[in-house]
Amino acid sequence: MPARLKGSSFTCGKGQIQTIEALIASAIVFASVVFALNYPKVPGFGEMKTLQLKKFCDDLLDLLSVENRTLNTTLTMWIDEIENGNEGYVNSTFYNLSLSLLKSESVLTRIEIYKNNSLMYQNGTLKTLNPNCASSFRVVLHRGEVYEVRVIACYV
Amino acid sequence: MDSKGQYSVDFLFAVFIFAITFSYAFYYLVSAFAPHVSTFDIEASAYRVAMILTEDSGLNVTLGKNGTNYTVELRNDWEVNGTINNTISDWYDIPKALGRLNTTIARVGLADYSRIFEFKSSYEKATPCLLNETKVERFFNVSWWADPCRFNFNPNDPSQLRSFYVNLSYLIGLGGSKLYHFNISIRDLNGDVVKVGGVECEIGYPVPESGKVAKFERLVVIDKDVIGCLDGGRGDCINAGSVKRLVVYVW
Repeated sequence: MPARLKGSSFTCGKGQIQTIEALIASAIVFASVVFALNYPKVPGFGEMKTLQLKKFCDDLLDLLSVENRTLNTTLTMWIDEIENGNEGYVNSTFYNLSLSLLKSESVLTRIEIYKNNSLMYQNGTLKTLNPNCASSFRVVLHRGEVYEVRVIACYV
Repeated sequence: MDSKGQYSVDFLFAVFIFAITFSYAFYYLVSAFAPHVSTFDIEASAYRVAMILTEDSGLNVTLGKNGTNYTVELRNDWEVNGTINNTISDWYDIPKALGRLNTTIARVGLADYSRIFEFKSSYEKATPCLLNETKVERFFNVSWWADPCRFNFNPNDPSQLRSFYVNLSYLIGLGGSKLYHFNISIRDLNGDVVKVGGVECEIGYPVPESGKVAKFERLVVIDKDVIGCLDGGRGDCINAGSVKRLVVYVW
């Protein structure tokens, strides 16, 4: 026979309660109430995660496609650099940008450039794709060639 | 023992589970009959505000009269000579105001004008995600909005400041039957709020530490940071230093 808790508030001096179980149950109830009162401690930031990722991709492509007065864009300059074998500049520029996004947003990003449907260049912090990634693409007509630029983003 | 009664752990659990189930059923039934109750609206609102600010240049409406003809001029340069005319509370008031010279800001957007718009056949002149320095500086400058030709309020008075935020919410896409709180800022990729023209780029209520808050971000560049490239340089100034985040909280 387990120990009895006599004279508790449950029984007004007449009933009994099994001590260990009562303590456990009380602790669970107390913990639930405390959790419910304090939840959530941090703001809930919604569930539009996929849309947010997609917009990161769109925004990156928009920014890389801003035209200057000579009708050049960052993308066309990068394509020229890559075509001329000067990948180093593009590597460091995009990788630093990708690294900053990883630090600030916990987002892994990757850029892929295709020429005539074959992969010409890729770079970024995202190494392995998974089904939760979002992507965006843009077709660029430059110097008579058709390039497809894809940006892929994924939460860590 | 049996004659005196007991409270077993089974009984306590049963009561606990019953209480939880009853609470859930009560909450569900109440929300099932309440129309349009959803937390999705603040997320959609945050998305909409972020989209308007980054992809739109805003709208300034000027009404006038040329001889016997009434004129309506729609321009994007709300930051240049934009005023707030209280006789026009919304677009449907424009016909009533025709005949009197009125200028009012109808919508606020921060997107810059395209550097090559003179070559474009398209009517659209805004460049998404490229923000105009002057628009940014004035949007985040509460003193600019407090000017008598705009909302005419004392920015040091908390109640007047709250009223201003309500009015501003209508200009950024948060207008409607429901009142939203918002906080909008431009931050660099390290998380620090940026300053443009000496103005700290944050406006709105303090973000609460608890509760349901929707957040949406856009990646942007302020034209002053890349002006050399845009005006004829190599055009490749988009990098980790120039890219910023426009962060919108709505609750």
